[in-house]
Amino acid sequence: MVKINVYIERDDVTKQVEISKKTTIKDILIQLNINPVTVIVTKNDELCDESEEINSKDKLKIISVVSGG
Amino acid sequence: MKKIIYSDQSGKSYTKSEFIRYFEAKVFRTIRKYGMFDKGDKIVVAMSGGKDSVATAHILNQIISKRGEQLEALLIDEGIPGYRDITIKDAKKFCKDEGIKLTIASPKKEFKFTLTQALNKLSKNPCNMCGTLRRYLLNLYAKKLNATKVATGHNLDDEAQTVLMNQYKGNVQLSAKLGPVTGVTEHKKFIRRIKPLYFMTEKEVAIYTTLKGFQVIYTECPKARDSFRSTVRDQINDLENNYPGIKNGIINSFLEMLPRLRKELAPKSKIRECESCQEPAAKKICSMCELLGEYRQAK
Ligand code: SF4
Repeated sequence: MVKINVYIERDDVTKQVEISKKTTIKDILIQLNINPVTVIVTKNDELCDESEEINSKDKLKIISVVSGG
Repeated sequence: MKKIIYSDQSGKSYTKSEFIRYFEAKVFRTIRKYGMFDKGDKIVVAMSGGKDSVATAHILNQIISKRGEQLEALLIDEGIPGYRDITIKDAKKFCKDEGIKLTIASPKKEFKFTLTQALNKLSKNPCNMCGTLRRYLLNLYAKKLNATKVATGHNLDDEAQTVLMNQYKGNVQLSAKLGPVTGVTEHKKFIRRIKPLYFMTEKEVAIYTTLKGFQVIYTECPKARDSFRSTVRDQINDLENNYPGIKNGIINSFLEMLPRLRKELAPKSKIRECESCQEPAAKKICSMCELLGEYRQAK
């Protein structure tokens, strides 16, 4: 098992998540208990689909899209 | 070309440029379908500097600038430190880049107090008070700018939340004022609101503004976290995740009922003029004048 860092913008925290070969962004969101409807995710600074698989070198950022105001 | 973005709503995957085309085409269709404005209209965009108003202004600017006219935007600075001051910076930059004329109005300028000061004096729900201030100033300044329509950035999520909030609180008569073009009855002093992003989800709007490279913060107002709206929002988002299509379902069934709701409520929803300020009001004295009275009396 490899661990990668995932930055969660809204809380300004970085969390470590375990990934295997076929882990997708959606799997990571589920691990972090984040509803995919409420966020967009960038991989290496590029917006990407949640079905994309990731590897240990990828840089992930989770951006909350819910607004109020 | 690699497909990179999946839209839950359309059920399709898109490349960047395909997504932008899908998004804009759907907004243009909404504008046409609901006859949101025509050539003689002067549109003013209600600008907050957040993703929704930025997307609305950018798309409307494409139409208005083709006519050889300049789009105008109006920002209400309620006075929420740590939030509005950031979005104002983004709004100024965006409007400058797009050639949009920006006017900033505030309760501070108009009534000599900010939302935060009023909240310190009166124990009221922040969002209700904020709504009163914003609606009043938006209409007042839109008229000063000779607007015939005010375009707001309300998206599918906002509307679905409001429909359910009204339902839960037994305020269904308030829902008659909703819809892609607001208002049950017309009044010369009330500028009608249009919502070009009516059928776009919050997530789609965020994808659009990100792909377009607009500088906006994806954050929420500090007062929003404990509001009734945020509870309803989380509930709808949980449902949408488990049963995709819920948000569309809420809006589509609401739109089917809306004509009947308006017909039923139109006779009871006469807009009158406030006896104190002569602005449009539902009662003898408008909510803004009531709030002003309470503020001035409070120690
Ligand atoms: S969340 Fe409430 S207080 Fe904050 S901007 Fe929205 S309506 Fe105003």
